[in-house]
Amino acid sequence: MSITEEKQALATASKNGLEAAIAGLLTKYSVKPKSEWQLAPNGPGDGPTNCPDASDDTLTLVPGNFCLDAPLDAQSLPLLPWRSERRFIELKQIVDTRTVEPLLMCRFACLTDGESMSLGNILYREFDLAEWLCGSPIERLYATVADERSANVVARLANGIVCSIEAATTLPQGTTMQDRHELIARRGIASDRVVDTQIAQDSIYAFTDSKVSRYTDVDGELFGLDAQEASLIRSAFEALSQPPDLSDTHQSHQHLQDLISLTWESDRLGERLSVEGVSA
Amino acid sequence: MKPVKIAMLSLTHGHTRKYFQTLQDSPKLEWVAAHADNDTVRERFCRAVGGVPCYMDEDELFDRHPEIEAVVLASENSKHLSQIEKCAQRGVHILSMKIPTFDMDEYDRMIRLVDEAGLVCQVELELHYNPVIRRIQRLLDEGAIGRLLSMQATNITLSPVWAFPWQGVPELSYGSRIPLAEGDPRFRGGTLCDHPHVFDLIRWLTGSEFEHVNAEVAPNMREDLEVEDLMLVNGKMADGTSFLFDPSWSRLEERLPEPGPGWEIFPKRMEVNITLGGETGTLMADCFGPNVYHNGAPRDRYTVQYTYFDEWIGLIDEFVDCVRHGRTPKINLKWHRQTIEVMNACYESISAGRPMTVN
Repeated sequence: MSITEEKQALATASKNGLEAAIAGLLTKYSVKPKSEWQLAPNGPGDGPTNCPDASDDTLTLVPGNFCLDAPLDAQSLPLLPWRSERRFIELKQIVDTRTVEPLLMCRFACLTDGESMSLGNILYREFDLAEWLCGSPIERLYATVADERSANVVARLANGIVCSIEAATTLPQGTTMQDRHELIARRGIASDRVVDTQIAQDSIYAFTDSKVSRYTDVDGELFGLDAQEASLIRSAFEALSQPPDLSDTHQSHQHLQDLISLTWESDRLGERLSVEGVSA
Repeated sequence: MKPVKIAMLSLTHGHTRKYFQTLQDSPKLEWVAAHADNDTVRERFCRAVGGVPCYMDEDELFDRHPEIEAVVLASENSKHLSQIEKCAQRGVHILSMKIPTFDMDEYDRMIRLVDEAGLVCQVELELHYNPVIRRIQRLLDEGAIGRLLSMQATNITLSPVWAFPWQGVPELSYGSRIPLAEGDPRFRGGTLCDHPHVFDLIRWLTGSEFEHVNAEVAPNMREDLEVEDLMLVNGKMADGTSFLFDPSWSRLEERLPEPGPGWEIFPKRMEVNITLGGETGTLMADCFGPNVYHNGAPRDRYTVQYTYFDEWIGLIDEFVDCVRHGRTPKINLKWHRQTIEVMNACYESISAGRPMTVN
């Protein structure tokens, strides 16, 4: 078996496993989706992104950030799985309940090995997190990009919040993603990283004879899956339970893609660029 | 080596206290005298340091102690030029605080004064003597991450304005009262003026100069300040390195008139973290760690207690070496000029609403 075939086999196994987990939740909670559905074959960890080419009425669920290179099929539903990740749900809650308030500045960073997420994949996710957590669209941005492997973005949102996004694919192959999200308010700061640390902590560190193993289990119902897989399943389950308007999701997807394009354009022109249709 | 006879001027700068221990402990220095700008700082000085005479008049200090060879300019930024003039007249070497001045004409006058008098003028950018920075430099030199593509850095602290009020006064901090932008009620002179380090470091680490810079200010955390306290900066170096800096006063503090225990509201009062992305890897560094933690007196809040601050030893070692052997310090006025220029360009970017090209 070639490396490509091996990767495809792994991807298929992964897809089947994730679909089975979604189906399990649907059965457990007696949810009957309105149509047939499938999970797009490409997902986190499966490398480069392409949109599914659905040929029938089957609803295809696909992480939005892994669907950048081709137009979305009408029956595709771009998911925003990070919004179903526990840490981001809690950060959103902290903002919505005004535990920290008012937000003034945000500092986001996400570094990958480029295999698990490309620079575009990262920017899509971080732009969405910025707008979702801050409750406002990005109004303008300025970006500098180096070798298509690192992008430094400073954006201003329509509600006046200023946000920085550090995106890079400079981690060595196989390295776990490193990210950080900090929300700075006049009263309080919220973050998904511990004060005085640089990287994410794990729940378990197992120092055994053979090696050091780390475990971070975040979902009892989906035990054994990592945070990204669990959030993808949660987000798919939610979409099947309470189907959103497909055209709305496509519009949001286009908006995030436009922000990525604006990033490249800002770097190319060396200018701050405004987002069409958004003003303070 | 014969110890350098040194004095401190003004005692109003936020770094003043850091010199107290160094000037007393260093075998390379003989602390001759000090000058206080006002009664409050004089009283603090006398409480902290014994046996060093403290004068309320600069001229009296110099007249009474003609043996003084060098001074630490521990004053607000707006006083630096007049003090450098005085030092040049008297042939006294200078250890300047991190911002000599933001006025580039004044800056060039300072360079001329120092050159004509044949003085050593070292600018206090203590991160150069930080062991984490030294390790980063070594790793980069060894090619640990290949060619550098990007640098992200924080230089974030609490705001020192309650203990050092001049840092919230545009004329004293920036040197003049210039609005941040049209319609913005705030003025230049806040957090950016306090945090030149990362602007200097990227030049040092890349060996390249700034090409363009973009800055955005957020609404203030401290609404009663008339200077900015939250800012983000990004841009590109001439060698293509992309950067993003956070030089904010984003860590909230108790409004203490004198720094001390219980200053922090946010547990960590200061952070310089650096991420360097290269062609073959990434370095992530915390320049001030690891630390210890407590939630004890005086406010029972969880607090980061720093464990390591010896940058001033290396800084003084270099300064004394330069004075005694007529060498030029790494961070001299001429080197530092472009760092000040790019900080001014940040303010221009905020004012103009666009990135600025740096000459």
